[in-house]
Amino acid sequence: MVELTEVSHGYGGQEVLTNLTIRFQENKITAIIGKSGSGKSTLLQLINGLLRPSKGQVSVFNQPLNYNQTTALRLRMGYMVQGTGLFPHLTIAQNIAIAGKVRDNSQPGARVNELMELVGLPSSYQPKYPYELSGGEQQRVGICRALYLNPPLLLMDEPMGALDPITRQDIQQEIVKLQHLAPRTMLLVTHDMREAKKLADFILVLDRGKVQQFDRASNVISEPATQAVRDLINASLDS
Amino acid sequence: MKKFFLIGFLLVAHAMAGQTIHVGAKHFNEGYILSEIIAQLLESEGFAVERHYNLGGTLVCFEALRNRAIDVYPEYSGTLTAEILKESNMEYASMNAALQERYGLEVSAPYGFNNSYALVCTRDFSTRTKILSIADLKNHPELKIGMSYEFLKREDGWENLAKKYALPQKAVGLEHGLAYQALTETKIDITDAYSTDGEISQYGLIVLKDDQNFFPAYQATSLYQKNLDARAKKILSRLDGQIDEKAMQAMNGEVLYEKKTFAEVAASFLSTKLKITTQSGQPTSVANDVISKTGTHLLLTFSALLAAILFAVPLGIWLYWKPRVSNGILYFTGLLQTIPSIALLAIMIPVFGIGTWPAIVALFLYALLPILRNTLAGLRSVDPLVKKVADGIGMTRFQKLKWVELPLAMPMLLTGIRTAAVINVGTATLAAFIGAGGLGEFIVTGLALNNTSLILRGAIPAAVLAILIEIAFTLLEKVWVPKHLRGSK
Repeated sequence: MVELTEVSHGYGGQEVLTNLTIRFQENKITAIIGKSGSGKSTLLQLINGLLRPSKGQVSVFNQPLNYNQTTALRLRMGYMVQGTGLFPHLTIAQNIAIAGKVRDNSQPGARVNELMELVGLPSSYQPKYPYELSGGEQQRVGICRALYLNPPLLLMDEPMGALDPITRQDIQQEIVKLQHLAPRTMLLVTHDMREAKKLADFILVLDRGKVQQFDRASNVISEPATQAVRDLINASLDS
Repeated sequence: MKKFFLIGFLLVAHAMAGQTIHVGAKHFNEGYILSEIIAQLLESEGFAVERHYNLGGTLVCFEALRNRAIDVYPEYSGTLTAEILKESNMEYASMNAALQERYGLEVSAPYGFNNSYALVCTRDFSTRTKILSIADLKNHPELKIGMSYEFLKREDGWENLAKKYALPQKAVGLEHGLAYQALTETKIDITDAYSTDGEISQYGLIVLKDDQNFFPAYQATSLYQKNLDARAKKILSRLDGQIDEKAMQAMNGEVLYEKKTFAEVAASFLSTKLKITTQSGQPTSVANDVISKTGTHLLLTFSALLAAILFAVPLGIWLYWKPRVSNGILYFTGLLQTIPSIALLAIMIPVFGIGTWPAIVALFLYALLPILRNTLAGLRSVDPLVKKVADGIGMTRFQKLKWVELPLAMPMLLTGIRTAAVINVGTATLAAFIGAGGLGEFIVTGLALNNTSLILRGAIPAAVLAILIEIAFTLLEKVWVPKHLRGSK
């Protein structure tokens, strides 16, 4: 599904990721965890094609990434970022349906309502603008937007980073529910081991651009491979 | 035989009908009157005449003539020798020869009056102090001398005059328009004047005798292309020696104090002096005149604005994609902005002549910077996260531009266009200086005649236009930009 072969990435002599070889499991949730600067966001952007590896090869949907045809590829992967990144000048309905517009210039359809219902947003929100919604509601809109074309792959870059604990819990449950209804491959970047434990089937631990451990979630927590992994677990679970 | 004559006559008539003579005028009272005399004289002989009045001074007039945008305008020998040929003490004939040789231009014989600088005082003052000449001033160090700012600075101005006559007084600078009033109210004793100013006869002023011939001769004459139609030259020569200083002063006064139009004054001169009856055009109503000039003004403003939008917005987008070259281009458009309007308009003449085109080009150049800068700033101000999301969703560069970046940059972009539009409405009033018409004609003529109501006739519609543009853009923003994204207004 998603595979990296000896991938490195760096700017100006400084490597952010060094020699990664990973194969992510299809239809499972993998949490990518690490401290700030460990290279987790870079990893997602490499998979999305926003960044190109300086060495190695990225394959998505069992094909080496073709950087000249990223649009078709990106339409098959939902992408969520911290702070939602909703388009402030578009209504909620237009935001959710933007991928449809990119694909074939289609207008928001019944799918918008369906998704909003799924994440518990009233359909009366459709004509509203993002600024009229709370942070948690905006985050749900972000999920709807990422799921609009029902992509087989979902990339989530700390989607819950800026949320309060209660809203975060709600959204986490939403993700569990979604995965239960229709499994898909999800890559979830987080720095919170508890979140990883709660949501993920697998955990990839990065530290300074290198893989520390990549295993089933339960194994990582019960048998941390390195000191860096242990530190992360302690830091998250203590707080 | 008769047939040949007939054919010959038709050919001549045809050639004449096809020939239009372009007459220019400097933007001051006497300039308008003399040009109108030339124009009506040529018309009475069957020539078609196009008038290009309000041209912004010697620089614009001479450039326009040199570049064949006009065929003839009235000029002064002193100006031609000092300002154009950069010679001093040149005989009239050698001046004419130099003009022909250097510029392919020619002058007629002088009209017969010398519109020189002169020093003037009131009749009372002259009687009381017995001052009749400039030399007489020497023995009165207590006199209050008020001089126009230009005269204080000119080569043929106060400093050299005082040196030549060894005058002990210090002169203060004041606005020429106020000098006559200051003189009659005895705030000052002596001021400078053009010897044919209408005010001299109006106030019965005494022109002090220039005993030592300090002031050069400023013989008024027709300046035209050397290859101007021979018949037209011959017709113009009928003005030779026909206007003396008194007559010119009187005509200037008729416009200033009797509020006659230039056309009326010119027509009455031609009928009394040369026995020529002319049909001066029917007076148009003020309302129609304002409406037609407002129309021209809008045409100038908006064609330039539209061209600037079509050029600067795509350029702004391109620079946004190529940030390396953007600074250089921005500096360059900024540089254009700093060129004074009149200078920019004068630069246009060799390339575009006079009239509508150079004005539109100049306004276009002025509109570039605000639109370009705001397009670029608007695009750059779009939240990088939103741009990243747009990429991540799979938008192409153009989709991102159309659906995300431009809509979010729109408030700033509109502000830039609005700024450009308001600048253009204001600057377009200066377009009158190169004969492009518009509301500036009222303003420029009004300034030359010190006629406030004429100035307001141009200034008020221009101000209203500026306000309407503000309102129009506010409405446009309402349509194009969602409420929460509008800038504070």
